[in-house]
Amino acid sequence: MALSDSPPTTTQYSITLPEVGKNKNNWGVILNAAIESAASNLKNVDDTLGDAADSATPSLAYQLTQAVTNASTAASNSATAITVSSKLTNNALVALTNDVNTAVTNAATASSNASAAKTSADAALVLANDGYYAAN
Amino acid sequence: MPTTSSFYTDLEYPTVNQDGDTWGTLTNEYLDGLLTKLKNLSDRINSAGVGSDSDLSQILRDISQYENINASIPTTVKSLFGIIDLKAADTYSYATAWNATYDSYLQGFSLVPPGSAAAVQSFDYDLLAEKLRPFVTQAENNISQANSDIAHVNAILARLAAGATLQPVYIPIIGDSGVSGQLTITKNANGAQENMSFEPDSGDHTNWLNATSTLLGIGAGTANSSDATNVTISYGTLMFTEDGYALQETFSASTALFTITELSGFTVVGTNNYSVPGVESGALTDWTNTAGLKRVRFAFNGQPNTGDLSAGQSKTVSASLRMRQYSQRYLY
Repeated sequence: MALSDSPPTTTQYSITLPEVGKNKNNWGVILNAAIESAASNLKNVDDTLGDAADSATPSLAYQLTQAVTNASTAASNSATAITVSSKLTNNALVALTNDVNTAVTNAATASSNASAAKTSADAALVLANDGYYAAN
Repeated sequence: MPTTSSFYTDLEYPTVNQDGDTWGTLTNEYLDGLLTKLKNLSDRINSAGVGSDSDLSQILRDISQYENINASIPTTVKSLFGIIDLKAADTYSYATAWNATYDSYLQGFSLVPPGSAAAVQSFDYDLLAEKLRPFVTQAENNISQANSDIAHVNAILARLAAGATLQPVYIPIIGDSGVSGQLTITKNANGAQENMSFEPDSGDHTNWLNATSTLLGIGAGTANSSDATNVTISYGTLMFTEDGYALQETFSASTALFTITELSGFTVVGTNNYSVPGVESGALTDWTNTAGLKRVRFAFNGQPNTGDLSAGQSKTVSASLRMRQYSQRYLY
């Protein structure tokens, strides 16, 4: 497939062209057919790309537009996610110190209460034993 | 002279009223060049956007994954820290201080609440954990102590629920520190009886003997028995039989139980009729009230008898004895 062939054809799409010095009575037909064929191939490419507004198909142009939009949204969402996450982390770390403080306080209280309960239980046991011994 | 394309400078088309001999070639080359560019464009468009392997498909997949990551980061952080509600971004703000109890303490280690995404990323989480760990350990220790105390309380509750059981009760007695001193062994003139007198070297001696005698129910001032197999404790004097028995029979009439907490200079011995109490230095060892426990015998170490003494001769040994009385009572 080359212009040097006889008849000449295009390098791409193999469209037949008028041959120089020949096709005296039909070069116009051949040329028109070649132009139309070229237009047809152009139309195919055009159709492949499609209308940017064609969301039903959706067209490639539409998808490209959407991809750009989506990428932009994703980038924005990413920034939001990072911001939220870092704030959450910040809040959680501070909350952690609050939790530690609460745990320490509660543990101390629990230990104190348990110690008091132990003392009371020991005293109750002595009283119970004394009461049992007195009754028996 | 051909005209250069306004759009593609590498393309030329015939000039009107010129190129009379080459217009066909120029036209063919123009069309060929144009179609080559069209094919090239078509290929690029197909590569960019058509099919699952196209660049567009890959971009859409990447965006999808990107969004998944975007969505998962906050929820992961939320789950990681146990946050209940995930709110809008502008709902949150950066806290600038720790809990008041630890704020100055942590800032002393250059630990400040991270106030930006970059600060969050570079924050020294290990250092924060290290500096908070002592407080957590303190809480753990308190909880452990609380659990121990609660277990103690629960054990008491269980004992109260189970009812009273017979248990030993140790009763400190006067002279619980024991008695020690030198024992002088003297062979009687008739050669049949050797009396051994205890020479105390401590003020506890009299108290111990007195208290022990009382507890044993033999009273103070009981004289030593003339029976060579029976000796008693007498006030101020600890008597032994010829073969070194001491305190034997003394428990036969007593309901008290004893444990020996210290014994030196003596050795606990036993025969068919005697249950030998356990002896454990420094610890109370139950001398259980088993059947047959009638007497306890002690022998002097290295002084099993006085057979080597002539009538009226004496020998002296050092000894100490420490006992503790206990009884059994029904207790919870």
